Amino acid sequence: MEVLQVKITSPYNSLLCSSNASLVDQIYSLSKMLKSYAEQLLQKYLNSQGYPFNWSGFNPKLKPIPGLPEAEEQVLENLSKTECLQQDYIACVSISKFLAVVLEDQKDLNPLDTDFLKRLTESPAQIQGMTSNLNDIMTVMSIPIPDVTLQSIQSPSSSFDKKVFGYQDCKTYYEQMLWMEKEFALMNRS
Amino acid sequence: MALIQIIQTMFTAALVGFKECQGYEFTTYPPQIVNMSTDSFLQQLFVEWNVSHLAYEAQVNMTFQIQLTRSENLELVVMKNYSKSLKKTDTVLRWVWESDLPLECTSHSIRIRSIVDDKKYLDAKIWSEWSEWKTIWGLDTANITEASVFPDEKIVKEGTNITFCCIIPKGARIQRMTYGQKIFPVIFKNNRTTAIKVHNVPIPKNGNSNLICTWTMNKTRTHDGTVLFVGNPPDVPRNLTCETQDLREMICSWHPGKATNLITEYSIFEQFSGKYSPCTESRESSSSYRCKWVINSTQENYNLTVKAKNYLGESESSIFVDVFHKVHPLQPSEFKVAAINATAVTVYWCLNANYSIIQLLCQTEIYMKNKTAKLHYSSLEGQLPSICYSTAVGNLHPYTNYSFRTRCATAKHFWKWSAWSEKESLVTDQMVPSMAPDTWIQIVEGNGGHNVKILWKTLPDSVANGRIDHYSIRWTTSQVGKSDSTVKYIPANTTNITVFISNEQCRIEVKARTSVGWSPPSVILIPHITENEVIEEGRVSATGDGLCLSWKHDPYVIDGYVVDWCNSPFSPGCDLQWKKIPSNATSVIIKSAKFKPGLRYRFGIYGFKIDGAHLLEKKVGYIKELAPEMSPSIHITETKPHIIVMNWTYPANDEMQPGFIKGYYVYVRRRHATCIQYSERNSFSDSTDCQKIKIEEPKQKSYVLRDLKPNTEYLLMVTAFTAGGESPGESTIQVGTTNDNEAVVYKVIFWVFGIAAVMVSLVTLGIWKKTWFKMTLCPDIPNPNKSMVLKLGSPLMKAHAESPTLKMSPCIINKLEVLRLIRDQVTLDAKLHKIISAEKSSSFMFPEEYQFEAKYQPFHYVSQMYPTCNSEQNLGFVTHLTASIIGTESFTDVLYPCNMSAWITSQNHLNMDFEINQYSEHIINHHQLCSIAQSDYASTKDNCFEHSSGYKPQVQIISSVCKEEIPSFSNTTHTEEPSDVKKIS
Repeated sequence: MEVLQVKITSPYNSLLCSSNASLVDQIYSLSKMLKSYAEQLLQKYLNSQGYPFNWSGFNPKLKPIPGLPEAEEQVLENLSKTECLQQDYIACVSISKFLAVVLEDQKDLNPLDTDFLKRLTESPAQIQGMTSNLNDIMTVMSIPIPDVTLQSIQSPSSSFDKKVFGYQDCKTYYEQMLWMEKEFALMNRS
Repeated sequence: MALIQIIQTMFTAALVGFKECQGYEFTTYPPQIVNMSTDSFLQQLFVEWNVSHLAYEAQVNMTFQIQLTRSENLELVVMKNYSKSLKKTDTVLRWVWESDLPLECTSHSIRIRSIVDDKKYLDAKIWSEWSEWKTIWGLDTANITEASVFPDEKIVKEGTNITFCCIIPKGARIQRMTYGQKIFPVIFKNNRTTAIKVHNVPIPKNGNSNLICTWTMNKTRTHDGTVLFVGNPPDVPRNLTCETQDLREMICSWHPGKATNLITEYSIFEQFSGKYSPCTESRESSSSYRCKWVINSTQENYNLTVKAKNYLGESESSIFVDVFHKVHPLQPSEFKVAAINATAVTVYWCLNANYSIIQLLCQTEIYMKNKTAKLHYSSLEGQLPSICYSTAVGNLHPYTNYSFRTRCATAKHFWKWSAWSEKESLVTDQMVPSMAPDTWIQIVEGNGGHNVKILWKTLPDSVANGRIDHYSIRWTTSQVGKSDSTVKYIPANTTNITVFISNEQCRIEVKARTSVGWSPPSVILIPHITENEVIEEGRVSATGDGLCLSWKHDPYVIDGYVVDWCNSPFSPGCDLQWKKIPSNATSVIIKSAKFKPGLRYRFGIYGFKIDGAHLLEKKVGYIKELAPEMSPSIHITETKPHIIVMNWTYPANDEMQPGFIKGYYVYVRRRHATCIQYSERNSFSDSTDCQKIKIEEPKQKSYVLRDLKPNTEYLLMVTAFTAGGESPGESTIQVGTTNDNEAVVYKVIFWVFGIAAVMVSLVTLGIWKKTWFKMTLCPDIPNPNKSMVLKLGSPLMKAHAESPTLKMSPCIINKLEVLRLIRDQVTLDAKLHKIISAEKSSSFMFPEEYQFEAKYQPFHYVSQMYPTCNSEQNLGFVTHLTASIIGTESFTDVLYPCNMSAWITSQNHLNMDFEINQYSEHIINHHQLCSIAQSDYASTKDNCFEHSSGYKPQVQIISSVCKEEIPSFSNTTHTEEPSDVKKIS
């Protein structure tokens, strides 16, 4: 049995009692779907970059990228639900923009891998759907929509670093969706 | 100032000239490195140096020796001489060196010295001093905290050899370097830099490959790397073609050839106009590239060059295009079809381009279901995009569903057909049926007239020309002076009607009607019916899937023949079918999917004469004959000692028979005889036990079996057969012939008289030839006492005196060998072969194992025994053995020669012991000892060793009988052989 360590605070409960359960259900379904997409994208990304990215033991030391959210569960758990939803919103917007940069890098690095490029192209639009849903639920809960203004994202100059950069983005995307699926599963169950 | 310079120059020249005149002073111009730089991407090192301006002024030829070293240890890499004729205009000297190792990997140092290499200074050649070392410091000397991998972002051609290096911070350690998934040997290494060389790099699967440097510092493992792009220069564009669809722009397409694996840019250059257009949309699509070129309305001819370019190179391919020769029209749009009449339509379509300056050839496909499509061509003037095109299509069939589509090409310079338009379907209008319904009649006699069933077939679509609404049936009976006509209208879904007509001649008309009008009438005349003529039925044979009917030509037939038959001959409706045949034909093959094997079909052949249809012939046949299902029932009408008369009943002409009965088989078998196969005959003879008599007359229902044995039981059976086989043999009856008492009496009399006659003859002959019989059957036997061998002093005696065979001694059997036992003629196991010692004993017992074998069941055995004589005591003798089974049966004494194998047989003995008595001494006492070396001597009780003179010996004595050796038996095997018995091989 899976045990999720998520704190439930009053704003959540007020939401759960409302008539917007279908909206929560919808976001939960979407998060499940996006988690699946993100997992496929990450796998496809690693396969497209060649060895050692496609090697199961590859675990490069990743440096924090300015503007890219850190989807660490321990960090997210300690947030209030309002902060949590706001953080989800910021993460979705940011990841979407980072993936657009990754796409441009990959057009040069893997110009012939059309299937992978297509999947990468579709990802920002899919995340945009989640952003829109988060916007709706935060509006219902009267949570202020955070203003996300990202400075221009600089991709590394070296091709190898670009690959690592893209890996970090795709990994964050997957981890964020993994977290959100758990978060909204709990919300939906409640 | 200028004056000072002039003076200085003059002074210098004078000084040089002075030195030259001296002849012993050496002129050197030591170089001085002024600059040193690198191009990291190209891995090139540039060095600039200078020499004294006097050398430039003197314009001397100089050779510079350049030393290039790597790393801080100054490991020499290059030692190169560089010659140069100095000019006054030269300000600096340059040398470029391309390194296989990225220049960042380690420090590179250079120093140069020079020598004047000029004819003028032949005697004064000497190297100058080396310049100071000039160094480009590598990253391995820098204080870095992260590892670096070089070359970075390198693009190389497939098959290139490339060197990578990894520079790590101080205190770190390189764990490994991998390219792809392989580890390569290190070609350069110092404290902080490690380099590997990869030979012949292939094109990676993912477009590029990663060089990974794994290093550790403070037990932390880190990956750093670089990406190497491997590809090829662009191939020459192949199969370049350019065409236009709308006469506004041309689309050029080509095959890119060998994959470059790199981003390759294409562009088009037109030579006549000098215009250039990049191909921004020329992405790879199903291995074909496309690029557009805008057509100039005032230019008809184009010389187009497609150029391909990537980092590694470029290529191009050209084509000359006359734009009007390469028109590939657009797909027709707004396609429509409209009916003109029942057999013609108009098709319309539009082409969304300005073709007003060309002629078009358009092709319209007319497709009818289950038919081959027809093509209709039309040549049309090209139109502006606003004007559509149309063409009329004729020769269509009325009331038929057609589908149409159209495509176009240029008529004058055909290049390609356009894509087909969308399909459009249309049903043409109806017309009157073009043919009369196919009609026939079936007449059944009635009181005062006939019931006539009028049948007709539904008109096929090809002649119906529309939907049949109903049929009109008119029958008119004609008598002298008057006629009577009746009309009936029948719905379209009915195809027969039964009417009663009198015996007078009758005319029947059948017509079909569509919404447009009536078909022509189908007319059948029924002649004045008188008494029916009896017509014999002929048989027809099957030909594969049909029945072949033929008939005699009838000169009075004027309007062809009709063959009719029933598809279901035994069903009430009969499902009457007919086929009309022209007057000149006299045969036809009737086929029907409903024909079944084993069903009898009847055919009527009618001829249309001037007064109507007459039945000419009748035929009957099977599509395939089957074997009869029932066999005849047999009755025996008479039995005699040698004759059985049998009858049977069978419905040979029954309509239901699955074939024409061709005859019968009569099976005759003697009781208790086993019949694997019956011998087929045309008549019965009592030579074999199993016979099969074939009767090829279906009307014959009896058979007489003659020449049978009296007082014998027979089994009889009768089957019927057709061309399809024989009926199953169901019932067999048993019949016995009676006793033939007269024959028995005759036989007894014959044998009594016969034997008496023979006896009398023999007695008479015996008396008459008494002396001759005696001499022949009982001649005088020679006397052995008269033998020369035993006569003392005879030469033969002397000759054999020393022969061991003549030495006489008593013979005692000391060994008896039971060689094998045979049970039921099968040799028992070989281990039964034992040597049984009988030395100093007059009897022996069978070993236990023999008894054991014998206990279980009665058996017949044969034992082969071999007595061995003691040679020291016997010269030769005859051994008398007695074998007996103790307690059950004794054998009769048998006389055996010594050393001959003896076969003793018995049977049905249980739990037996075996005793052998030997009476050799007794025999020796009673018999005169005989010994002879040859077998041509015979002995009897009273005489021995007399030459036989042709007499056969009663007992043959072998010359070697008393030797110790035992003759071997080729068919026996000794499993255990005692040491005291020798075996002769």
